[in-house]
Amino acid sequence: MINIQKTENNILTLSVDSKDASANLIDESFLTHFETLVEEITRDEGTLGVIITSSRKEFLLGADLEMFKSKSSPSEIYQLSRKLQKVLRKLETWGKPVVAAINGSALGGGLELALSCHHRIAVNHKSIRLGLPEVKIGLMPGGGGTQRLIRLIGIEKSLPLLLNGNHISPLKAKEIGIIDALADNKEELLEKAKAFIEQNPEVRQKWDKSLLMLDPHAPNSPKGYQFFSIASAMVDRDYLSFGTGPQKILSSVYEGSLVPIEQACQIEANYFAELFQEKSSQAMMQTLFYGVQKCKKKGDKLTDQAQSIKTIGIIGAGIMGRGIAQIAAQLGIDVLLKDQDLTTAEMGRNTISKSLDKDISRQRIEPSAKKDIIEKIKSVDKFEDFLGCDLIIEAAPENLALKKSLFKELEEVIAPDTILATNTSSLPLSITTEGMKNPERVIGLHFFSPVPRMSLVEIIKAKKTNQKTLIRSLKFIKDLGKVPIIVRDGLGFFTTRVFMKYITEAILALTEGCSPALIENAGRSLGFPMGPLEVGDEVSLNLIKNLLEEKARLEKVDAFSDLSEKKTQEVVTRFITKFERLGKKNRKGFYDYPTEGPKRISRQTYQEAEVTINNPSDVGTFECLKDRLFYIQIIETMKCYEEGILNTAHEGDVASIMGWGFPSHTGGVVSACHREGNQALLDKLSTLQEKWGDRFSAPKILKTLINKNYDSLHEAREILSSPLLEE
Amino acid sequence: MEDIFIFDAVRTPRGKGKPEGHHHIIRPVQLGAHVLKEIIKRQNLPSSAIEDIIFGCVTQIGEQGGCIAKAAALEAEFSHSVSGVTVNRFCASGLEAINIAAARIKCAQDDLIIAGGVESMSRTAMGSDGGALMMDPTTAHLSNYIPQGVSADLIANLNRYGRRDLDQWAVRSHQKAAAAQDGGFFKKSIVPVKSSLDQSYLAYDEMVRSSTNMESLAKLKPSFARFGQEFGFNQRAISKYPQLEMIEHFHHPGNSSSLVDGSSAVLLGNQEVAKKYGLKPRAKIRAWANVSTEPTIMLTGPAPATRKVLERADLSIEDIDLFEINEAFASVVLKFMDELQIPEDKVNVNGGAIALGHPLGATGAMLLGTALDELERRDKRLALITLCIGGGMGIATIIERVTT
Repeated sequence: MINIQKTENNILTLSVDSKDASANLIDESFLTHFETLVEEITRDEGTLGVIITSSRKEFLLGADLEMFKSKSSPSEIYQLSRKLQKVLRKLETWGKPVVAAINGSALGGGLELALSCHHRIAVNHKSIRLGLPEVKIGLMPGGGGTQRLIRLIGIEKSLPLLLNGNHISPLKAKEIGIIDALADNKEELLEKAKAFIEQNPEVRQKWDKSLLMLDPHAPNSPKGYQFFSIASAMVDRDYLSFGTGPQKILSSVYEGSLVPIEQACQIEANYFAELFQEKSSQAMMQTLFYGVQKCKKKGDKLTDQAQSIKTIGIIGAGIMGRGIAQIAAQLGIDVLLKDQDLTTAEMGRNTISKSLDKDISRQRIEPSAKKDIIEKIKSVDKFEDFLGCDLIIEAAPENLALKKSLFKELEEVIAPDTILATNTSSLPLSITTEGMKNPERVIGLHFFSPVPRMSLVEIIKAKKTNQKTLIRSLKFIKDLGKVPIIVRDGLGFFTTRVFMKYITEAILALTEGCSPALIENAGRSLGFPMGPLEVGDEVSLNLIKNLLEEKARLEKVDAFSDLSEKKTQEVVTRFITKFERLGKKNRKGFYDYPTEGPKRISRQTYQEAEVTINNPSDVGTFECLKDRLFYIQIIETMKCYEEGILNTAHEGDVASIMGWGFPSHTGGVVSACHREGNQALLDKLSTLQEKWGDRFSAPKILKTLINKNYDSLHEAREILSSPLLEE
Repeated sequence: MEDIFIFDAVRTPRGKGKPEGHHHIIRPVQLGAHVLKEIIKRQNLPSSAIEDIIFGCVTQIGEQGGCIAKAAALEAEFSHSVSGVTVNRFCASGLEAINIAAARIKCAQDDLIIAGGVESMSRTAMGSDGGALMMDPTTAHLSNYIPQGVSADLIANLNRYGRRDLDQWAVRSHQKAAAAQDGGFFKKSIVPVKSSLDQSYLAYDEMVRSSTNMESLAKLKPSFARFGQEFGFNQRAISKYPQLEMIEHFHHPGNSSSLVDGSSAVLLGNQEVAKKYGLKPRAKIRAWANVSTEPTIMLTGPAPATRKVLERADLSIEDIDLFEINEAFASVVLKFMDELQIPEDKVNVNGGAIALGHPLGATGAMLLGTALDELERRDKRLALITLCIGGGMGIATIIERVTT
């Protein structure tokens, strides 16, 4: 719905108000309504100008993806994109001023609409987000956004916004020229909008005054030639995991900058339609839009009624503890931070203060907010101080004995209804809680590092964890704005368990004589942000060793039957004990980390493979390595479903991308399983098994899917384990 | 089929391709006209005898745009009957011009052609004409484009040529070129061009430094580190050559070809026209070949082009007395010699583009002239001229002296 109001001096105010929907979105009925309105408005010569704003909290959050569902051919998608482009063109070439009065967030198509206005004013508030996030879900702007943005603020400043899809504040938008003026509140916003219209009775967009772009970076000068040459290489390097969206955005900008706006919009619509049809775009939308939404809304009915967490205690002022403390305090939660002694805790608090300064300098938070945040955090040194806490999160070093004794000690001191959470990436709760009186109030909250930036939280519901604990913890995670997935207890849970396979398979390949450079490049070329050995260094070789030892203890084996685990155990043990190579933290792991210059794969690592640097003989194994690193994760994922660690497909997809950087363009590790069809996967695995051993044998669940004629785990609810959250 | 005779070859000296270079105030069309006038003067030919002028020119934009071959013919006050065409096969344009002329003579369609090239790199910046190959995101992504300097470094990394190997070749290039200058070996072809009244003629190639040594080269910083590391081109190279952990950058201005200004012309024709005008054939063109290879590494075309042309001419590597390979970058030459097992004493015996300079469109015809002069000086028979080319291409031409 779009409401219309007319002032005495003939200024029309269009207020977007999608009453029944969850948010103001552009859907087909909006488009049709908007088209009719624009038709009428532009016919009425008496109108002085138009203000576009919203009656809701948000301005306009972009296209409703549902509207594309009924469109099957590229030309239908193209026409839909053209429909929006045409109505915006009509309004901007009408000759009378159109002002976007941005009272709330304007994203995607919402911002594109604002860009087509002759003037943009926004309420200056941190909560308001402006951006073109399409690329993050496998799409690109299709409402003329790529073309108007480059003409408005220049190509160089536009590309980061288009390619990262990050949103910015109104203040930042003003700085770079997207927003013309700021207002303190909605009244001032509308006043300023009216004033603009009164002062500018006739307007023309600058791209309609001069048809060709005058931009030093446009590809019609030597500077522009070089700029695009470099931009294209940087897109290939930096946006591999986003699929082909970033390339199409760049091509759209390049080609569009050489023709007038009208033709430029057609170019954009062509690329948009082409991109929309791609498998990777469909998969990304499914996971990064719908999947993430589902995770965020999980158990809403229950969590809406649950009590909020008001005070938390955190044990350990290390990087994880500090991160959790910071985001909780930012939300207004009281935080008690404890470490071995008060001085250490206080040091942690100071480090948080520095990290907030960084956020201020990057305009992530208001300078005035810092004091409130820091005051929410208190250093303590006794468990007794935790008495009033709703939730206590231990973020102690990943040491089972330590965690066990911590919990036992805590249990004696704290209030009976306090929730106890362990922030562990791998240690099973069933063991951590052994011998506890009330294990039902213990839960796993696996945050990822760095906590303020990483959205995923893996919630571990142990066998004994009760519903109340789960719901309140889930509410806490949602309040923090994080994306929760809920998994069953088990060594490594879901994320650590699967991505560890990336590392162990790589180390096995190393011991077989594969060049480490080839291994790392295989991982990166799949779209992982880091090579597997690089990841190994990041998590530390000790953690890998401990995890494998724990696994051996649990499975009661002396030597692993899984060759990759056996070899990994040998290699990391040797690296740790013989060469004191612990990983990135002591600047020596599979790589050397010199104080100056880039890290380099160490000679030790090359020796492990018994190859010399740049060994060209193993180029032929590259594709094979890619397969191994990829499919071993797929198999482990399916096993997790088989064992009931997870019970919804979208959670696995979301967690793989947000947790360990599984390439976005696959739609996540579960979608990747089914990418080529289940039978094709089965065939692939049997080839791999023949060549590389039984760890590649197809999981039973794959055969079940095939037998029962399911295309994917997403639709096979009946064969998955029972829900972890009873809604 | 007709024999293709080479009657003469001339070139300007190579002037430093910077504003302070000797040729900087000379317009490109003037450079082109100069060699045209000189070659017909030396052969005492009426310009109307020439049927067509084929010039190589890479950066055909601005004053080098719009068919500079015809413009040069008019500036040289050639008969209006003489036509002109300009070709672009990047660095091989000058040799391509000769091969096209050869083809037209061989199939008896033309009798007498001047082929050569012109490039004023100081006046028309390399790359200033753009091109989809490097800048169109669709093309560049599909071809996995990287700048040539990074390709040259990639060749060095893959073949384990270190900075030392490359610098050593560069030093030898200067030493050989300086010795050739001292010996007057280039004199036969050089037609100096005067830039202004208060300057003397530039009679020699301006960039040669006999004093170049390992120490002086060691001071130079790699040229392509920023392109490779910051701008993403190394990652593109590695995506094609994943056996490399990283790319070390070794090429610098001292072991890469220098930017210069110059022009060249070669007079080619058949038996009949030789008789008609009393022209004396110095050599004939035996065969030529073009190839194209993997575009990212880009500069490894000379070896396959050489194999192809040898097969066409029914010759073997051992039959060739002299090789002229364009020293675009030192690694290109080292790779060429390694791949074909060519003894160093047959390669660029009078130095190469690292010392002498590489005036893009003019180079191919210059190399042919240099090879011909040296065959005569040494009284040898066969020379092979080859260049690496943008986009992954390679070219090679074999000439054979006519001694009777």
